[in-house]
Amino acid sequence: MGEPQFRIDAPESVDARTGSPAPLITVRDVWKRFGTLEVLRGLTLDVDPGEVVVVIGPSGSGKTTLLRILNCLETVNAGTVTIKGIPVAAPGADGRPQRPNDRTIRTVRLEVGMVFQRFNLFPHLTVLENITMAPVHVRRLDPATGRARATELLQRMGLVEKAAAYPHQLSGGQQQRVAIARALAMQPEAMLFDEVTSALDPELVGEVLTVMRQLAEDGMTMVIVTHEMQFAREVADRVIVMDQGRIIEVGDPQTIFRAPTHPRTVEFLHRILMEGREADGGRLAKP
Amino acid sequence: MIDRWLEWGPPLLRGTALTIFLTFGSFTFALVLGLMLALARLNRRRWYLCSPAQALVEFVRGTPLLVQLFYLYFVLPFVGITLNPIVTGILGLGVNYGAYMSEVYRAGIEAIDRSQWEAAHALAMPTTLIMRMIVLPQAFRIIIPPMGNYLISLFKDTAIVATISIEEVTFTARLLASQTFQYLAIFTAVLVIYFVISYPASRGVAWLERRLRIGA
Repeated sequence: MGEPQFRIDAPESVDARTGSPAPLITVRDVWKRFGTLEVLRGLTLDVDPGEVVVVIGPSGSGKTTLLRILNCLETVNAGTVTIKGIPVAAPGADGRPQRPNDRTIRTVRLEVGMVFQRFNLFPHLTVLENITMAPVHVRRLDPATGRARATELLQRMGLVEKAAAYPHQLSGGQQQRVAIARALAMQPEAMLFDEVTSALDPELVGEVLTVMRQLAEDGMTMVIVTHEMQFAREVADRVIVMDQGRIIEVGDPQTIFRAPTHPRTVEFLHRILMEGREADGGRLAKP
Repeated sequence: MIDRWLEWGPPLLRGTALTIFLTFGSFTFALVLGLMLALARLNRRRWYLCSPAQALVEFVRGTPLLVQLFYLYFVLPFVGITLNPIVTGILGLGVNYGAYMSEVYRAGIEAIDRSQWEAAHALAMPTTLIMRMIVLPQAFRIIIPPMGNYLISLFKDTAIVATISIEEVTFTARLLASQTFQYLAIFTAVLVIYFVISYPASRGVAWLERRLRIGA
C-alpha cells in the first residue's frame, strides 16, 4: 500500500523543454509553497526567443505564480529559473527560498515586461507619464525621446488622443492597452501577460487581444496566461496545460484543442468552452 | 474704552504674528522630520535607521510637550547649549509634531496598494525611485487632510511656548492683563483671535478633504 497509489490525480509534471540551444527562459523542476499549500510541484519549461507560449488550466493551478516567479515577484522553494542565462531563482544552501540581489533582479526585469490582470497603472500620472516614467528614470532615456517613443506606442495601441488623460478617465480596455504600452516602452525581450482580459467587460476584451495578436506577429516572445481559448488557439506556438501545480500536457494548439490526451485537459476544455458559449453567445466558437 | 484697545491692539497683533510664524516654522520642521522618521521606520531591513527612529517617536509621544520644552529651554544650557527662545520653541514643537506626523506619513504610505509596488518593480524601478515617484505622491493626497488638522492643532499648541517667555499672543496677553487687571477683556480677545484663525482653517481642511475624495 505505497503512497503513489493515491496519486492518480497528480502524475509527474510533463517536461516542457524545447531542446533548443539558447532558450530565453528556462525553468527547471521548480517547486513553490505558500505555507502548507503546494502551488507549483516540479515545473520544467523552456521559452525560446520569439516563441508565444500560452498557459491554460483551471484557477488555482499555479499559472499566475509561474509568471510572478519569472518576474522575480516570488521566490522558489526548489529548482532554478534562468532568464537569458542569468539565474534568478534558486533556493539557498539551507533550502529556504532566497532572493537574488536587487541588481540581478532589476537586470532581469529590464528583459521581461509584465502586464497584470488589474492593469495597475499609476493613478496620479497621465497616460504619457505612465509610459515614460520607467524609460526615463530607469533606462535613462532623455525625456524627449521617451515621449516620442511613448507617443509611437500609443499610436500602435490606437490611444494617441488619450496621452494627457488620467487612468481613471479610461475604460478598462484602454487602461490595459496603456499598461501594455508601458511595459513595451522598456523594450523588453519578453512579455508576460497574467490574465490580462479577465477583469474586462466582455465587449472590451477584443481590443486588448488585437494588440497582443499584433505583438505576437511582430515576433515578441510572450508567455500568456489566459482563459480566452480561441485567442490561445490563434496565437500560441505552444500551449501548456497546468493542473494542481504541474504541467499535465504540452503541445501545439491544434493538438491540444482538437485532440487533448490528458483526461483533465479534456474536462477543463469542455467546461470552459461550455461556459464561453453561454457567456458570450458563441464568440469562442467562431473561427 | 477705545483708547485702551488702541493701546492693547498693537502688542496683541504683534503677538499673533509671532504665533503664526511659530506655527509655520515648527510645522515645516515637523513635515520634514516626520517624513524622515516615517521612511526610517519603514526601512525594516536597515535596523540602524529603523530602531533609533522608532525609539525617538515612542519617547516623544510618551512624554508631555510642556516638559520637553522646559528640557530644551532650562536643561540644555547646563550642558553648554543655549538656544534663543524662538528657536527652542520651533525645535520643541517641531520634534513633538514630527513624531506624531510620522505616524500619519506611515499610514499614508502603507495605504498604497501592493499592486502599485509590483507594477513599478516589474518596470525595473529601484525601491527609492518607486517611493519618490509612485508611492509618496499618492500618499500625499491621502494625508493632506490629517496634516491640515495637525497644522490647526499646532497653531493652538503654540500657546504653550508662552511658558518659555516667547512673546507670542498668549504671553503678550498675560503681560497686558497683569499690568491692567483687565483679564476678562484681554483673554476674551485672545480666544477670539485664536478662533477667528482656526475656524476658517478647519473649514478649509474639510473642504479640501471633500475635494480630494471626489478626485480620487
